[in-house]
Amino acid sequence: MTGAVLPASPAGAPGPEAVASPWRLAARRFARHRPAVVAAVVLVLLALACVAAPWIAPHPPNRQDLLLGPVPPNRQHWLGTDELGRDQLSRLLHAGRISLQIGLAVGVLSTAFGTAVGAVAGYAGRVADQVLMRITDLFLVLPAIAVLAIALKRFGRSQLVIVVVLAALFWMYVARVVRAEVLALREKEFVEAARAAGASGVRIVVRHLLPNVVGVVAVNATLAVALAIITESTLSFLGFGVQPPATSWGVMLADAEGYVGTGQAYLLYGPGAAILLTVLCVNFIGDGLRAALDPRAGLR
Amino acid sequence: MEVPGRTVLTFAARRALVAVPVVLVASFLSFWFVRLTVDPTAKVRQSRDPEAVARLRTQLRLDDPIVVQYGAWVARALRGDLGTSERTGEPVATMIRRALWTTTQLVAWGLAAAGVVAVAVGVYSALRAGSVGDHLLTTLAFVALAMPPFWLGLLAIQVLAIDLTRWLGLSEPLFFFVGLHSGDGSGFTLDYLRHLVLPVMTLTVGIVAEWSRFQRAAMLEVLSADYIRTARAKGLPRRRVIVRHALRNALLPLVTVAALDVGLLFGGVIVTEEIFAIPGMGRLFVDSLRVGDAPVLVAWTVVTAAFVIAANVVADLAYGMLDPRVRVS
Amino acid sequence: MSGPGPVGPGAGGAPALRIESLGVTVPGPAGPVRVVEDVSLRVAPGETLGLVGESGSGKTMTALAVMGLLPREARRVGTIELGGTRLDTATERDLERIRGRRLAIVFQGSLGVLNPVMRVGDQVAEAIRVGGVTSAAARAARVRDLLDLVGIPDPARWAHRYPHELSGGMRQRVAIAMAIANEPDVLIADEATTALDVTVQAQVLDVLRRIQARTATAILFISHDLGLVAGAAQRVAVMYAGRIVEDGPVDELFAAPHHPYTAGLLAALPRLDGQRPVRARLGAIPGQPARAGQAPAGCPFHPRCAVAKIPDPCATRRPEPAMAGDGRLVACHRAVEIAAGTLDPGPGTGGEPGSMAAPLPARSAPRGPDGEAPLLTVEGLVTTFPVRTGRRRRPAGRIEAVAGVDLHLHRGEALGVVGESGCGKSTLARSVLRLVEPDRGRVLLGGRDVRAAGRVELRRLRQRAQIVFQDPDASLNPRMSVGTIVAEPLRIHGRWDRDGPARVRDLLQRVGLDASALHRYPHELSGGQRQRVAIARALAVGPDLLVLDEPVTALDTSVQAGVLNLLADLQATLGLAYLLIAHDLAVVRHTCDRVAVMFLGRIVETGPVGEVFDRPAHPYTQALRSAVPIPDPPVERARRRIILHGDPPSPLDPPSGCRFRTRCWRADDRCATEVPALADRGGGHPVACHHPGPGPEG
Repeated sequence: MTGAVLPASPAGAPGPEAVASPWRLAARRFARHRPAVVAAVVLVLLALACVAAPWIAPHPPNRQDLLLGPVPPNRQHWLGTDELGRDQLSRLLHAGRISLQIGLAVGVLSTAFGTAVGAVAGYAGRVADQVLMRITDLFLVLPAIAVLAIALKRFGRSQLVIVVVLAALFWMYVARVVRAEVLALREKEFVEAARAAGASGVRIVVRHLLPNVVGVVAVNATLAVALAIITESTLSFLGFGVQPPATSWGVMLADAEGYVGTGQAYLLYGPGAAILLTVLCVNFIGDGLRAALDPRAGLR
Repeated sequence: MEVPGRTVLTFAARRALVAVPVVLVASFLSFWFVRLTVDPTAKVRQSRDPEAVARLRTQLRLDDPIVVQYGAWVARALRGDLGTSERTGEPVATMIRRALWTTTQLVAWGLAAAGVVAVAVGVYSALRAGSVGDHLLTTLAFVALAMPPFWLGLLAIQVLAIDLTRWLGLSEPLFFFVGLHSGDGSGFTLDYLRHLVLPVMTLTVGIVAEWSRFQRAAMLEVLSADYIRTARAKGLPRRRVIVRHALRNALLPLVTVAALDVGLLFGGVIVTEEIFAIPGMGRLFVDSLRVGDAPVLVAWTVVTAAFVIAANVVADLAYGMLDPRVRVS
Repeated sequence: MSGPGPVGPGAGGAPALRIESLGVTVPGPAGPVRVVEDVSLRVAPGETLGLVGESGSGKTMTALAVMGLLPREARRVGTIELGGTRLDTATERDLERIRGRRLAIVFQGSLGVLNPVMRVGDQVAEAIRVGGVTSAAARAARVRDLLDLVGIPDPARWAHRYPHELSGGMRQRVAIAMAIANEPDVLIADEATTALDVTVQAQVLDVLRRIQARTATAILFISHDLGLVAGAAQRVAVMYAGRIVEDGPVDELFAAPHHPYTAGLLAALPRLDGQRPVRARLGAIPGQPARAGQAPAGCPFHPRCAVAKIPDPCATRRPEPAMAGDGRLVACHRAVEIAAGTLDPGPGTGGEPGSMAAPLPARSAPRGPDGEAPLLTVEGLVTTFPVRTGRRRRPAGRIEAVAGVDLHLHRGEALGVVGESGCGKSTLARSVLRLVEPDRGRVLLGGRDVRAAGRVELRRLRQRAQIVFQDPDASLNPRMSVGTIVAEPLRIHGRWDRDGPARVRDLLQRVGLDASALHRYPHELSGGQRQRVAIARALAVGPDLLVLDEPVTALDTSVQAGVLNLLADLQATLGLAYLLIAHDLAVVRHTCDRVAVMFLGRIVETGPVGEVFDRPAHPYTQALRSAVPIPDPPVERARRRIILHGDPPSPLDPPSGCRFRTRCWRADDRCATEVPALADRGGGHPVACHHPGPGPEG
């Protein structure tokens, strides 16, 4: 039959290449993105260290040694001690636990909720869409820090409340992005083909739209986590976030603020560098995910 | 043939008019938000005297429907009366006017500096895409985006103001880090500029990184557009192609992005003014929230919302004037 | 185009453009890729050389190489000479001075071909300035002259507009104005009319003809459309996988191609003039065009060639271009035999079935209208869309995309709907299936009212009518495997059972894909293969009616033929009814029994394909037919063209009465006040015109 076609094989030779599913290709592309892989490793190590803080920290984080007082970094105290003689390294690890927990929880919650709402609003369109846009528009007018600070003052500042309040604001960013993506996909012919085949709205969203939105969602998830970590530390720094006796990197920096220009300036570097390193890793992972999953980058 | 000026004017007028109800709704919601979360009777509650609390509630009309309360507030605000601060006893209107002027300076300088740097970096990176310089700038941008701005501020003070002074053996710091003027100084002086450098840097580090990445992407996209190929095929010299054709189109998207970031800047000043002890809106917010100074917070949120919306409208207008495709409506 | 021009490469006079052994290499994922190899061309002043090739042939890269506009990473070898000046050794500054003045190019039209934030007149003035005109007043006058020359009405007014305010055809004409501003010696037209409607294309080609007649410009006319080239060029060069495979005078090349690829391309073309016997199979070339860098060893065409001698020499040695008499150059090992007439290179242009082709099977299902009710009936269908201006979401009015359409379709019958862009044919297709909700009218499918159907009924109806879309890239879910895609309709309707996988395999085989495709993903398949998957998916639930929206428009010519043959086979074996939407009249002529011609939302003429296309009664059909190029050079040259004036009216503001009247040469006052009804006015088939009758072409 003249219509018989030769199966396309990029290298010309019919290789026994197994299924080249888009997911496997994506995983391969991610692995090729060196900064992302390095960042992932570093981040995992860091997270493990913080989670294991109660076991691996050299000193109890809150133990004060007033006789010792503030000491610059040395062999017993790698990051030095503060005015109350508390070991900074131990505090850093314990604080990291809190900062990372909050960051991750906010990232996951806001992404899950934001994706669901955004996808439905984007596909269902009209009323649901307008409502979503108006609500998010209004919340985006005020500076996030202000809104969060005010809300936290009202609802308390336990870790749980902080996570909920931050997620309650962040999901809006995710929802807007997902909505935009879904709107674009909705016009694509393969969605029309599904409708022509008689698929219900739910089926289209779940089976056709969401798998194609994964790329955008994954990248936004990392952005959300990064933003959450920075926001929490900013709020804590201002005194509106995590409360003592709990400590986070932001709280440590608030303590260190007063020592700028003094001999205890070393208190600044540890927590700040920790935040920087964590967020940098998260961003690189996000970049790797984008390179791996972006359908526009061509799936070849 | 219609006069181009008139189209632009009607476009502007229409946009501005649409903004008014938005401001009203946004300010109402802000008002409501603060009312819900900040209790004006908190201090009196501490005295545990229910009568006093009730009296205050009646006096402040806290039991009226929220819309009525808002209406009353707006009516007073239009007369210039924004209430009195619980913390300082000053008229809120005066406090806000002062603070707003200070913050506006900071934000304006920030926008200008960020814009210039971001465009320069972005365009350079695009033209030299893939080069060592491009990779370096990309890495820098990544670091800048990951850095908590307040930490940068503290570091900047420590290293650029204090340590640097010591290393260079100067008698006073090169860059100041308290307030916007030394002592009673005012006006546009070298002293003023020396005060501005560090706070502006702290405020804009994030957006410079974001904008330069964005500008780079926009420029790359424009450079691969068909009309650039057409321009080159016409025999135009390279410089004209880049400036007259590429840049003109690549700067447009940045305007939209910049507009969306004004809100971010207002958030950034909160932390920046705190660190550099600048008496602006950010400082006002922090001081008022710490003690729960309701009248100030209410006015603050409404004014900020209005300001951000106004900035968005201005950006919208600017975009409309620059992009002819949007003008015709 | 008129103008004698020398025939044969290297004959008489200094060429305006001479390319010798040009090669272009670009970096690829697996090493450098030779996208252009050993290409030699010559164009004499006043001559038009047609450069023909499908995707991946390297023709655009050749054009870019001449202009010096290759991407930075590309490497080039070979000689390029513009009337005595060497371009390959010129510096960038020299090239800048030559571009726009002695050498110009018109690219494929798109919205982005002009700077969107600069006024049209300013952009043309820029080109004039390059030519050294310093006075602003002189430039402005010349801008007006140029715009007038390219056929833009009211030049002074349009010069002040921005590109997005112009239609596609006008933008392309502005691009031409910019290119000819300084009367270049050589003009390259790279698919310059591909994105345009047929009638607009005819206008643009007319402009090029007039300019060439005036200034003896040499034109390098690049296109994938053999029909266009037949009428436009004196000599033709055919490219495949970056190489020239045949190069010769246009009449001889079309009448008796010497290279199997050329023969294959010609045989793959559906013909509007009915030169092919009814139901003859198109000469589809198996496989898809070789991508640059993936060309196999030896002759790049040999895997697809009907007469290749494998393994030796066709799979081992690369054929060198050699003269083959009558001024032709052919790169084929068997060229001598072909030229001597002892070997048939493949299905000929005359439509005689070659060794590859067998006639299509006769239709199995009877399709007489007597007694049997139509499968699909459409009455008075109206579909409108709100118009959104700018960025505001407030609708400013409604467009009547479908403005009252009646049609019917019997079981086993194929009805084609043709028209240019904006006529509403795509909307019609979607409205019939309720993918877009119509505003008014009746749609009956198998006797059941589609518009009144509730959710459950509609789902059931969906099993009886399916759709195949134009863009095979976008119509398949990139995250699903082929097997899953084809099985999806079965799953949706709860018909997926133990026999499911077998059924999917069977469907794939039916559309000409082998079972290994089951686990592939769309990105691994070629355009033709993807379209076959789309067809398989449409057939999964066993529909009676298949709606095809431009099913082959996005495919290369050689691949297109295979899909068209497949559609014909399926119709014969499965008794399907087709509603085929197309802008290509030849495709409709070849595939359909009846045709309806649409203009701005209305059907203006309908009837059996032979009648409508051979004896059109409506002026629009006559203009359409006149504008479609026929791949037969002597015929093309002898044709009298109908060139419509002005631009297609906007659907936002259609003319009153007969919508075609603003472009019609027969229009009178009655046409402005009275809408002509679709009825048989003595021509044998329904026409919607107050003055039907034979056109200037007869």
